Amino acid sequence: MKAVCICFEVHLPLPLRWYWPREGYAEPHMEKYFDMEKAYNNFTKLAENVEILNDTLSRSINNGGRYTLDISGIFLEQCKWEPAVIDGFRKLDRKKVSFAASPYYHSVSSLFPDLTEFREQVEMDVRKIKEILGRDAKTFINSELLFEKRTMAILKEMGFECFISEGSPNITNGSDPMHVYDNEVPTLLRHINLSEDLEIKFSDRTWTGYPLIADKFASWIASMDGDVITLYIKYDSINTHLQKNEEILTFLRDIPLSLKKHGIKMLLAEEAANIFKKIKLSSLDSKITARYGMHNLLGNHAQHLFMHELVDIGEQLKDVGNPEIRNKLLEIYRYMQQSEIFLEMNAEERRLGYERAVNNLSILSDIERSIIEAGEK
Amino acid sequence: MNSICPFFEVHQPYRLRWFWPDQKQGFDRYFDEPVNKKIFHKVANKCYIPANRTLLELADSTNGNFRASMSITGTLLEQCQQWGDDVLDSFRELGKSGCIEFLDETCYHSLASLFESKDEFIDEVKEHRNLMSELLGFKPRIFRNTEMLYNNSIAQLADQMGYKAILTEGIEDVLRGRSPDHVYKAKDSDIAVLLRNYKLSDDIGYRFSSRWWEEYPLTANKWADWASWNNGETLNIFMDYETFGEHQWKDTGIFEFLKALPGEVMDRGMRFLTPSQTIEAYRPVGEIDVGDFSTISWADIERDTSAWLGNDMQRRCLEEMKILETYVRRAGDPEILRIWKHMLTSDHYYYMSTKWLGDGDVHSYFSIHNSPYDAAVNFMATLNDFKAHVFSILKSTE
Repeated sequence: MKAVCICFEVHLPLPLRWYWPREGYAEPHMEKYFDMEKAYNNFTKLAENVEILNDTLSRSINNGGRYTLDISGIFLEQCKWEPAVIDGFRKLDRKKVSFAASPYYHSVSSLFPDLTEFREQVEMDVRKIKEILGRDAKTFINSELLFEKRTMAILKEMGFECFISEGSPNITNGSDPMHVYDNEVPTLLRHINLSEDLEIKFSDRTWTGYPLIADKFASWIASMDGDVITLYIKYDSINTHLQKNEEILTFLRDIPLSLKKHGIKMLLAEEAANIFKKIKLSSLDSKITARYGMHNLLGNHAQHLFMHELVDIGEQLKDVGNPEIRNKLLEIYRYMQQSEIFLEMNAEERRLGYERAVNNLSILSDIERSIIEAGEK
Repeated sequence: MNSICPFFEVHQPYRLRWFWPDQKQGFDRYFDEPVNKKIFHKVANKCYIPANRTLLELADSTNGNFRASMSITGTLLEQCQQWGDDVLDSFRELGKSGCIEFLDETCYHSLASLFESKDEFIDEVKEHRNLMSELLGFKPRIFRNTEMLYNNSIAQLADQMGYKAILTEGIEDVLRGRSPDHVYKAKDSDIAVLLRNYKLSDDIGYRFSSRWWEEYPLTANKWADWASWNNGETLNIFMDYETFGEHQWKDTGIFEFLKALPGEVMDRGMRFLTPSQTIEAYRPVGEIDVGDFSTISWADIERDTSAWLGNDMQRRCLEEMKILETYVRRAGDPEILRIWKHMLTSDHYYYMSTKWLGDGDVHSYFSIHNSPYDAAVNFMATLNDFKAHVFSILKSTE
């Protein structure tokens, strides 16, 4: 192996509330549908440790590390609760850290028949990154690592140099993704197993790989043949490990050194995309995928119904003439597109997923009612 | 026991489609015409037609001494008009025989009696009354609410609408040591109350063909013995009409049981009376008091409202329907109103029940859904689409 790209997704969703129709057909507002208290508590949990985590990244960078951070628009908005969090990201070495763009609302808008909404949210995110972090995003990572062929022309036109998606079996034909792949925008695919080792298994004492130290992980990668391994990991999961296992900090600090022993470099995603030869992968012309497969996101009947309604509402929103009301409704509408809303309707046990779906459809219905009422005719 | 008062509920809902927004408009956008038609024909052939024939034969062979009562819901009458004139004719014949007393209920077999505002409930009872007069030439004097839902307010409303008696479930909590086998009156109104003897009703309705039951097989002889041993004036035997040929299939011998029953009963010196005759024959022996927050029914082992409002999905759907009422009326479109009313039918909420133990089987019996969760998501999707339609109409007429 020649190189490794480590990307962290820095994102926390705005969860939907357990909504009750008794609240009546009143005016729509964010607090009516979204659980701000839960969001705040989740944010605080991450914010408390983000300084330690960012500090560890700095040390890792001093040891030769490079990281691509995918900070969502939604997360940057939540930083209003604790602006120092943003400073922590700003302070990271500009040459060794890059920021990737994604749809601002962590949305599934790339699955809409009309991609205007998708494009607007990507543009919003790029602007936000520039404004808040002072950087140009060169890599694009769709919500839930979605790959939808139709988006590629837009992403190319917007000038992205690298695109990251899920290394799911239907795309890789079962083999490990270890190259840059030829696509309208050069493409990296997440190595699922190695990403999971850090994201999920790291603190699991029953796992045969436990305890995972940097040298061990580097030797696994060194034994593989290829150009580049792409890891995509939720930053929040690192924080979860930290609660019970501080070794995660040592791991991150040491990993560049351990890789270096095997002659493996750490690269930013866009660097890898520019350096290595692009390999053909025919499935990129015909397949679609997302983190752990499309069926999680858009598999069952409830999810399809929700998606259909969402698309429908987007059309109706165009008829709202009053710009102030329209913007307010548009913000709610966009938050309703969060991928997590879809994921929660597919709980392993259908029971839970469908109970949530009834709740979520009920919320969507109230929003649709508001949009119709605010419409021109 | 002096007399037996049989009552049958005759009802099929308009089941919802497996909803997906498409080009269909109006009633057919939401309700599954092919499925409803198919089930109607199936039930008509297995139950309504042969059971009506049996009742007519009994009326004839007993010289009018066999008597029973039934409430046919508006939804079923509508289905008869659409798909089964012969079924409607056979109900008419039953009426002409003089042995069957028809009762009024909510036209749509709905949960409207559970709303704080009773407007829809009253509307539906009136609609049913009109339909009975128009289609069967009958003016009911007795009322029974959807699935025997009952509380003091419902009884009072029935009284105010001129009914002489109301039927409900004979629950221990309400009877407090008294027997259901008498005529009672409702608290705070003069209406008579007839209470179901659920033990002897369910022996026929549920247990008839159960091989695990120690009394299996049940014969008319045996059941008539039990009935005769009971001390009381009236034994109120209430059940789904679909018991005959549908819940209990023909090959269980349910029709033979029905045919043999009147003879066995009368041999033991007991009579058959309709509800009207029952309340004329006996004076109330006490008062029935059911507070509005402890509404009873004949459903499930709980015998309360939990079959329709036991979980969040059910409560949410009914709550939405309730809030929508004002807007549906304001829209002033007869078809919209009709759709809303048919969506109030109790069966839709029953299908969403997650009480799998014991009664779950019954919940899924006439359901077209694989699970209560499917039923709930489907209802909510239907409701969302319908609601959007209502608000679009209101917007365009602003």
